[in-house]
Amino acid sequence: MKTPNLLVKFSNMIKTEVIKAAFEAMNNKSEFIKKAGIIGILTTAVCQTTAVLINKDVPKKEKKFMLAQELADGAINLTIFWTLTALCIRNGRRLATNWTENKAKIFDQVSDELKKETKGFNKYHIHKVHQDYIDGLGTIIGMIGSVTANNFISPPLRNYAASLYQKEHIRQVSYQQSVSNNSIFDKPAQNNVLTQQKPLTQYNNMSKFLNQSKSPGINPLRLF
Amino acid sequence: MQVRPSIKNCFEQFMLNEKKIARVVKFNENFTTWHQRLVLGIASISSQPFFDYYNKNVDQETRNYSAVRTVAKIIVGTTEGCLVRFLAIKYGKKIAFNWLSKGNSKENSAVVKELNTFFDTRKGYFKGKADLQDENHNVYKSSATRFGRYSDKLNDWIKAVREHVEKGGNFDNFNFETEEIKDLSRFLKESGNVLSVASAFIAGLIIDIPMTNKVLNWGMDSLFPEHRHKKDGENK
Repeated sequence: MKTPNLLVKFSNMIKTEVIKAAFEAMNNKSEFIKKAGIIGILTTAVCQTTAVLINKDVPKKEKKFMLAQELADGAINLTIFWTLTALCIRNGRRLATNWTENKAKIFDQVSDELKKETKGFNKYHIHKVHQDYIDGLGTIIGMIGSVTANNFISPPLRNYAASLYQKEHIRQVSYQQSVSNNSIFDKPAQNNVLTQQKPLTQYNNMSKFLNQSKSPGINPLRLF
Repeated sequence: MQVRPSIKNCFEQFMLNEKKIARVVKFNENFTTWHQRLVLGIASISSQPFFDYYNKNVDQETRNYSAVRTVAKIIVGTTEGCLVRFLAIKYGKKIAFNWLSKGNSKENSAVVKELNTFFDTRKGYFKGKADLQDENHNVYKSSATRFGRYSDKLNDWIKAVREHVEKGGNFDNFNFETEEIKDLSRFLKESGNVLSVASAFIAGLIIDIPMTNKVLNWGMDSLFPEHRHKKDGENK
């Protein structure tokens, strides 16, 4: 007996997974739409982060901000999208279920209505119409939730998070610059922190510094 | 005494008529991933650039870069996303139909097993569903064995669909007189949807990254040339 090779097994596995997912989508479209949205956000986050990283024409400071913006966008957008869409879908479905309780007759009429639209088709199953209505309302309200999450809640949050990161980056860069340029002694007198202080405070500070530098383990020459 | 209806009741009355229910059912059937991408894209371009441009936490130059980048990202992402998803759904249906076309052969056993599990048992639309009732408590029973064995009918269905396509019909609407064929059409559509999500991921990696950068650089050159071609030291 011939054993199926690895390729056939792999292709069968993919087919089976796609078919399972397709049936899930048939049963529960709103959940499928939510999952598709989440995969879309992940794709965008991966692509855009890579795009910022490899773009050589963007200056360093803006690059830092945009990189932080993309990472924050991915994380915040994913969390808010997932939460709000799931909440909206659940409530939409619940709303439709409550509305349609003990109202089976109307779905019989809807079934007739749908029959008119499709040429040569006998009749939709009443339970299918009922479930599609619940699912459809879940999808519509879920889409409203996802649009709100994606476009009105996460952009200000991600911008705020990215600006915090950028400020921290600028602070670090200016600190490193001031250390490397030996700014305390090289800069003009009006910018020097020590000269802006009163003479007595300046003297105290200098003496403190010199006392510290005398302690073992710190070589004052290494500091400058 | 007349009771004043609440907003919730008004909305319920508004939504619960035959035509609106039929519209929602049709929407649920026909809503695909490319529609979703389009809706999100349109909403994004009408809101996100403004958030970026009026972001007071950063300086003007960063704001300009960020807003132009967001526009570039949305235009490229939406165009590419919609196009790839649309094509993937169109060809995904044919791919899924080709999988079914192998019928009850041995190599297709995994596929047929899945189909049987779905259509045979109550795992389809009626999983765990209670019987429906109307106002007078008349019961509309949910049928447990709606389709019978899928694999028994598979070859007949495939033959019917093939004839339909050969005559010039498309995969969207088979218009046959049975609900099973209608479900087959829906199954192919959803398979296309699933394949579209996977292909959009791959296409995003290949197309999105270079295209976004090109559109960003072009946009910055034409809109804010004063920020361009600076040395890094000037921007720190």
